[in-house]
Amino acid sequence: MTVNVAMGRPVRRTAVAARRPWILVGSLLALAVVCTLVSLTIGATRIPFSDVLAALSGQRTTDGAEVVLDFQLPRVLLCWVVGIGLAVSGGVMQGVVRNPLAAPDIIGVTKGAGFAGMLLVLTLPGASVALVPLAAFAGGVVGAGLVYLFAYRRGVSPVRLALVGIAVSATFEAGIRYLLVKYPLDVNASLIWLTGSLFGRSMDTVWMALPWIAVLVPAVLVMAHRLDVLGLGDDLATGLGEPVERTRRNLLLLGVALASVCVAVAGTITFVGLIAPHIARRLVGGRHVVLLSAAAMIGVLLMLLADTVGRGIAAPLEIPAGVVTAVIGGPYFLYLLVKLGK
Amino acid sequence: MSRPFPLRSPRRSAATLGAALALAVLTAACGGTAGSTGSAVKDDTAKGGGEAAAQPKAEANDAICGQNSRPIKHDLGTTTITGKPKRVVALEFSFVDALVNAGVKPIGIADDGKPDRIIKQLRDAVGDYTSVGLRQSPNLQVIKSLKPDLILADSQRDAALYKQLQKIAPTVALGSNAADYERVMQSEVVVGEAVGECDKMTAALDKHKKAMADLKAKIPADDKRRIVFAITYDKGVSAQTQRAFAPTVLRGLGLTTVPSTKGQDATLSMTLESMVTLAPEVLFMARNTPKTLSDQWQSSQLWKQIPSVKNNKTYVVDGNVWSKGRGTLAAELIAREATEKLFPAS
Repeated sequence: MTVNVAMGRPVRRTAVAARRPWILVGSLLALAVVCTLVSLTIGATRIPFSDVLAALSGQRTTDGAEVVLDFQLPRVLLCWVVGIGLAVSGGVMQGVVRNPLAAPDIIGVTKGAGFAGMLLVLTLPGASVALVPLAAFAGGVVGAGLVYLFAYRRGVSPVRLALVGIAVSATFEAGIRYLLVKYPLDVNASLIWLTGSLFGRSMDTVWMALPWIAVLVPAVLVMAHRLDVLGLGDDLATGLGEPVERTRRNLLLLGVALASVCVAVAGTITFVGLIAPHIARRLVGGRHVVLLSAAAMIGVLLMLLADTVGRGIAAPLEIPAGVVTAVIGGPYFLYLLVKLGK
Repeated sequence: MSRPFPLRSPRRSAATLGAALALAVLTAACGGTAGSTGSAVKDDTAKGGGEAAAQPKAEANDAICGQNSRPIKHDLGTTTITGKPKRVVALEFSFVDALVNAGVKPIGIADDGKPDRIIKQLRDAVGDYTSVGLRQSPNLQVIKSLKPDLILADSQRDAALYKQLQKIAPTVALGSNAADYERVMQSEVVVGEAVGECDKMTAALDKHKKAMADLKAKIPADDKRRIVFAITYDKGVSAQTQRAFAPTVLRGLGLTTVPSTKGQDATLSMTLESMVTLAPEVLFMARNTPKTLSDQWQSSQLWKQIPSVKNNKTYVVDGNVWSKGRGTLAAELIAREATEKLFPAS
């Protein structure tokens, strides 16, 4: 179990993490809560901490409290929802595909969801704003479905899945490019959604995503031990009585649903789904129940960092969170590639 | 860790998964419908993106002007405004033009963080203001901190924000982005009603119409040269169609612009080949980025076949006036510049 087959080498862990991994997960949770409170005070103008506390206890007495309740809280809650969703989705996919580079981006979900959402905004201008997330979700499922369909040859080999995923993603990317060229004037609005931003989100958006995450994440955690079995390799897993193909499909479906929901409410935020599980693996090792829980908290921390930096650094201009995660994530991705190449 | 893999039967895992998904769909559906009915009650007309320009609902209604409490019909609903708003936030440059016409200085402007984007005369008239960020993502917290009593929003670009803006201050959503000259003029009238300065607005618009008529009088009616206004940036060139602002200003002067458009599109993405096919006899180009795609075109032989290039009738113009301004002042500046370039003698 200390050997993570996906990474092909033993994972070094700290002593605490080895014996009491849940202590580490708990610390991450505490850190996330602290960061949330700090994030609430940061915006175009600093909000006094007393106002944040007043707002959290439900009082709308001061301007600061109103700002927190109306603008900051929905964004911060979405950071939690999207951070958890993307990180768990990425962790599941890395476990299922047994490819350390797997992420929602890889298996066609992100681009599929992005394309479908844009298509709706640009071609059906009469459609309600509330329909965009549903379209994105449909696109994510179609993207992942296509990847799975094309990759299926009496089962899905990890390498094949990754390759087909890149091809399908590229096709959707081409579709997005086409829409960008076809509707240059309307692009401003959709582009900011496409780069992944929590700008202008209200509690409506939170309520749209929260039920999915609240149900899907526990479902994944319940099945987490199956990821451990899959990690032993197809032969061994089959030998242990695991219906490898079916388990893989079910887990992938959960991962796809999670990532689609996130893209639907926050746009294409990249790298969180890829990085969070990696950091978690280094901290708490490869057992998936712990790994996914830690990854979820790290996902939240990454999202909070990205969104807070995005809205605080150049105020009143908003830098989309997706741009910030790409700035953080790009170099980390390169680091991973270099490390894997050794 | 000491626990062995608790292997379960595959059937049970499938059942768990099915139940989980079904539950998720159900709860999300409930949340979704609750959210959408909630929004339907408040504003049934908030629409996302696209061509809200096709169905403008704003209505000019002079009768309400003297009233203290005025229901303003705009593209995304009806907003009742009491008194004369003094703290106004403009989320598009054309609203700055309208406010200046009405004698109101906006306290906040979505200027993309670049004050230069506001036409100089307007900037001088406005004086000090607070930037509220990018037009496509105005900073709600800054807007709120300004304690506005009126927000002027674009009915297309800001549609998704409408509910939140309405929470901050009475919001009137009008055509600006992707609006043509006629619609911008209508937006000006509605802004006049919204700030309760109909007389000032009428006077300003009359003056504007006279200025435009004077320019039109200088233009020979038989001029049928094909004029193109295009925006060029690093990755492309977009020609504005006859639904966009600058071309409709020029057509209002009796000039001829291409391309016409079959659909509702205000811009048409161009390639060098399609530009050659379009064969403009006069070409006005606004440069949005320091380096542009059209720079690359200029070294090509094809480029030299374009009539406007052959005849030295290709001009670089200010995009802040020709494309982003979209107000009465912008219209006058466009008309004047075009007239000077087309008829150098006069």
